[in-house]
Amino acid sequence: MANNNSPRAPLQQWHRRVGMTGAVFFIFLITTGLLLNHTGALGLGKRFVETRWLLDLYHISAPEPPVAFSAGERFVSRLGDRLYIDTRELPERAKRLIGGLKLDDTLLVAVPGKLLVVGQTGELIERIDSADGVPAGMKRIGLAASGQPVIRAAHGDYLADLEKLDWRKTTTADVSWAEPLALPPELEEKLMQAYRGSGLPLERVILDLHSGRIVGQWGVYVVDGAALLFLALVITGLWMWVKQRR
Amino acid sequence: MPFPRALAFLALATIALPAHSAAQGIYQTPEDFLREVFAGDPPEPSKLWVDEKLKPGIRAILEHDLDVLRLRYWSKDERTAWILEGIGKERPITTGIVIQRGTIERIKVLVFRESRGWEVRYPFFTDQFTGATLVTGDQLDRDIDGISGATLSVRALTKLARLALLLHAHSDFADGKQ
Repeated sequence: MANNNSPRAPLQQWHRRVGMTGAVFFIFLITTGLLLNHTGALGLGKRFVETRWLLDLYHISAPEPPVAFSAGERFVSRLGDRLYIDTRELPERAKRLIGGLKLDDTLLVAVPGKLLVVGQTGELIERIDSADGVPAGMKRIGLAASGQPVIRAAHGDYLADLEKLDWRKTTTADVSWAEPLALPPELEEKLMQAYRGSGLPLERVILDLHSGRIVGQWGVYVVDGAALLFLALVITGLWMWVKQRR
Repeated sequence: MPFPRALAFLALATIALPAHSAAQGIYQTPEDFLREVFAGDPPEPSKLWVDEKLKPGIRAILEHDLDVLRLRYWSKDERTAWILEGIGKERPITTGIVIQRGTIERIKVLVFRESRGWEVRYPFFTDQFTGATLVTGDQLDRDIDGISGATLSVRALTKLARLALLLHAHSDFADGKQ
């Protein structure tokens, strides 16, 4: 038991109090540190936060109203650089959505330099790009009266045969062009939520908790303070141990 | 830095920069490649569905799944031609690969977008693949010599060569099917 008259007593008391005060911080830092050490195994980079107040804290919001086209019973839309079939995200990013339409039992989505053939449930079947002869400078897509897709590109209109990857110039005026439209409000709301919900990985939140950045610069100072306290505890602990041995 | 040395450095940089930029680009359009391969008369493209039977092999080679369900290829007289893309370091390398009876007839880099590793376009490298086949574990039957400073591009091209052989084996034009 410590002797209160010993010169070490105030140091011991300080050591004990700091240890008790800092315990919560230490447990917190150790836990978050351990989680970060196993990010890959725990899949923290692939799990996304959907809690609204956290998303608000990170100022994650949908960038602008979505651009959308109707494709049969589905809606093709772009929000930011992400593309969606209804609320299912496609594995393709684009800064512009040129058009979308229903083509037989698939959907055809046009983005700069590419046509995406998509299944009814939103699975990407095929990319057709300039290597396959897609005309340069696509501006619009539509359907001819025959049901064949038509592409308006930089050098004119082309009738596309997607089976043979054949692109023939056409002058037909009888084209039903894909026109942008407004999404139904409930779908737009779901899309906004889906966009926000895939913007903040759990790993980022834990990293910011660990560093204190989650509450701004002052949080970093608090964590710095906790680290310094921990250092002081190690030094005073060692000091007392050495003294005791003597 | 003394003035003449600085001047020499600038001159060297000026000479080196265009050479570096010129290394990126389109060496041959896929359309021209197919025309060349099929003597000016390329056939209509065929489709290969990436089914459950094919997926494990693709995953083993690329270390990830393909994000499409269907690929195109061109075939005539027991030869199949594939236009495939693989990431070197950050950007895709577009490659044309011709397979004949389960062996690589030729491989050519068509479009190179990376800032390093363009040496893989040269025949001294691509010729190593000629005659290569797949052996156990979907590996090539030979070692491919690397190029210093182009490790990632070499790796990408080797994977694409293995992938083309695997896809050929699953195509309608694989040996014994037609």
